Amino acid sequence: MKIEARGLTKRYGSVRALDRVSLEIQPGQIVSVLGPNGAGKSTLLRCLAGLVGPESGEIYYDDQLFRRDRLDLRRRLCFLPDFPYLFTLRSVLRNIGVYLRLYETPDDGVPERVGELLRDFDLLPLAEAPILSLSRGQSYKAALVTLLAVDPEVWLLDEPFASGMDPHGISQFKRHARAAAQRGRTVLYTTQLLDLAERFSDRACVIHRGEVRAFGTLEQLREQADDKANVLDAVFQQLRELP
Amino acid sequence: MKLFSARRERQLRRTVRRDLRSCPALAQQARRRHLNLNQNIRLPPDLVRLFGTAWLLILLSGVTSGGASLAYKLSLLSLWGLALSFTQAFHLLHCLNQHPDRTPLLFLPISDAMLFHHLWSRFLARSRGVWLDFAAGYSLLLGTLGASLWQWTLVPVVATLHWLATVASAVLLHSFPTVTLRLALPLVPLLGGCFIGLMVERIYVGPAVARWLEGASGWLLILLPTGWPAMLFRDVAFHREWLSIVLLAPLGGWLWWSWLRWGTAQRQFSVADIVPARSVTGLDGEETELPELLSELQLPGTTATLDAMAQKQFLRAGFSWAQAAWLERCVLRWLNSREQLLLETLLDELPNWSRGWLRAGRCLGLGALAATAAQQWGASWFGWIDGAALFLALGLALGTGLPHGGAILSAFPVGFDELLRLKSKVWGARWACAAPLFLAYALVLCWRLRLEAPLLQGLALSLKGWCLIPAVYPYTLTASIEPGSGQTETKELRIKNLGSLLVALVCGGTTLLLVLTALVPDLIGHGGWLSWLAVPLAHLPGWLFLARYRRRFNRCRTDLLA
Repeated sequence: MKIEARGLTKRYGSVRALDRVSLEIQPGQIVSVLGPNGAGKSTLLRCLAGLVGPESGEIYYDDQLFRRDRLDLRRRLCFLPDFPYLFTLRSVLRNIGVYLRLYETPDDGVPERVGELLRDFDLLPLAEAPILSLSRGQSYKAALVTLLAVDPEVWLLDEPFASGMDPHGISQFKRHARAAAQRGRTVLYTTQLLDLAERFSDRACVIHRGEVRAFGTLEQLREQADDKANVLDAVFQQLRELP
Repeated sequence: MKLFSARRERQLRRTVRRDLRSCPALAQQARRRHLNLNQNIRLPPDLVRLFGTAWLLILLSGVTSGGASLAYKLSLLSLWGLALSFTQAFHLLHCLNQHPDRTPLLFLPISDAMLFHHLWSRFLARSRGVWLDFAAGYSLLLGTLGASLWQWTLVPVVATLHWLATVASAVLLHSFPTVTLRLALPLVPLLGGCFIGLMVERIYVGPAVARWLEGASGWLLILLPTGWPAMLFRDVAFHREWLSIVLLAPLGGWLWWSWLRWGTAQRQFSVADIVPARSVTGLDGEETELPELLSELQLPGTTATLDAMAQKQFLRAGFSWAQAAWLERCVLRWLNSREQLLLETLLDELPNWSRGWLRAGRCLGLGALAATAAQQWGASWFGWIDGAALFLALGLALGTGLPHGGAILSAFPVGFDELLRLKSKVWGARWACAAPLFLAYALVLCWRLRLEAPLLQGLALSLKGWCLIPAVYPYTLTASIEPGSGQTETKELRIKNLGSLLVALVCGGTTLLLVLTALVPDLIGHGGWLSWLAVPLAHLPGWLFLARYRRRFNRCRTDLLA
């Protein structure tokens, strides 16, 4: 699904979290959103998910204007915040079930798919455990499994690599995300890990003080950067030098 | 060792400002942040506390203009101190267990005793408003009596003694939490009711409370520890009975006992409690303690889990509708499949609306019996029993039906209209089923009030009352959704939200006015066509308000952060 943001502006008091942000992301891409703390990365993802209302600007999914009452569009995307939304007293399986039902995912082959995902993320023995009894990394894995089970067209993930997941979980996530992108899914995630973003993403979007300072493929960014070996490091260094 | 050093903070602030001055870009950024903080309107806690002081002063001036005796006024101050003891005890409990400073300090290398002292100092800092209450109260008393300079000099002393007695009582109440809770549940609402009753003296309990207080003021001052400073003040300031200074002995004993309990609380204070890290944003209404949950946790094996998954149990509700009672089944029949799915998502277990209906019926029955008995006995305050019974029964019959709201809307692709329809259907079914209970109560009430045509007037009153209840439903619905959504800065009232607040106030105020227009004429026996017209009109503002909220919500004009 194509994502298009046109002139998004969002303020928190006098602080402009997003300042006329315009983006166009084609389907089948993994896009990392980068920027210093407080740059507006999470706000951008929240706006795209409909959680935060921009003061001005519009969001289009497949050229259709996005509003909260467009449930057909909302069912095609899933947002995973840094502290995922889950029913803490219900089991991992029950949470997955709730997501699948509310996203109206077809039942065919669901048990097998969910079983496989739980196995991939080492959650099968904890499938009946309430979320409250899980560690932060395990909870995040559980949320990730719900997302993968739903398999939406747009994945919006806030800091997935700072979620407490173990290396195996991270590698599984990358594998599934890459496979999803090949199936035409769009993966948009925020991170502070530049080397990881450089290796994992197709495109990078650098935000600073609410403005998009750079957006393009890593090759495009490399052409502009002074240090060709560490593109994103160089972009960040340039940002720090801005007035 | 002090945890916060004002001197060091000043030094740090100076250093930061110096560094900012050297870099204009950073200074500009800091100014923007500073402005942002200043845009938020937040009432200072001390100012909020002043509302309490104002209430006491209005209360005291009211009884003074009514010609009450000095003992009566002093006993009022003692009762005020008693109510404050309870609120301060709960405040102390909150400070020691849930103060925002507690969690960050847990991770610092400081002793439990130091943390306790810090939290205690936070409590004391907030409790200074209590002193102001007493100082203002005694000043008002002396002002109305034309006191001498000597009497005025006693005000700070007696206010301090009264404050000490209140804080000591709070410490003692805090150290016996179970007893305190059992005492507070009936006492605090009773005291609140009395204070309100005395403020609006002509309504129901006012005269009865005033008579009772006038008679009982003597022993109240002796019985209540918060009355001892007041008694001392009366004897020394007005009667010059210096022997009354011996009253300082029981007061000292009270303080000493609270000091001992304070020491015990300090010794028992431990930071070894588990502080679970927040790993998810909980969508549940209420959360269980983690240790309790872990002790009950018994996980099935992998094979059993896979078997259960193959049967797709996790794709069904966590409970069976087959065991539902009559009201739940009635609601279920009215819902479509999507609404049923939403309902199952919102609920952890079968709802107990039928039990609520039954309890409401029992409550109304008991209320009617008690009110009739009080009326036959000649008590003028029987209306309070009717009011309490109706209020409680309404809560039981129509109270919390469904948890959550905004949290669900933010986590899942669920529309506002879907949630609105579901909640309205559940509420509407319960409202319709509860109607006969309240209709019967209204008929009995009109018969008891000996109205000219009890049956006709009872029917009119109950019909109007019952049809007016849905007029307030849009506000309760919005409120049930709003805690999960709200603006990004949830706890702060921002200037731009004042517009929404104003709309809510105007709509709510208009609804209230129309509700009163519809009900009051019937209650005083002069119901006319205008009062009937007010019934449909009362629904308009609420639904218009809801329509406006819905429009803003769907257009992403409100933030959804659970």
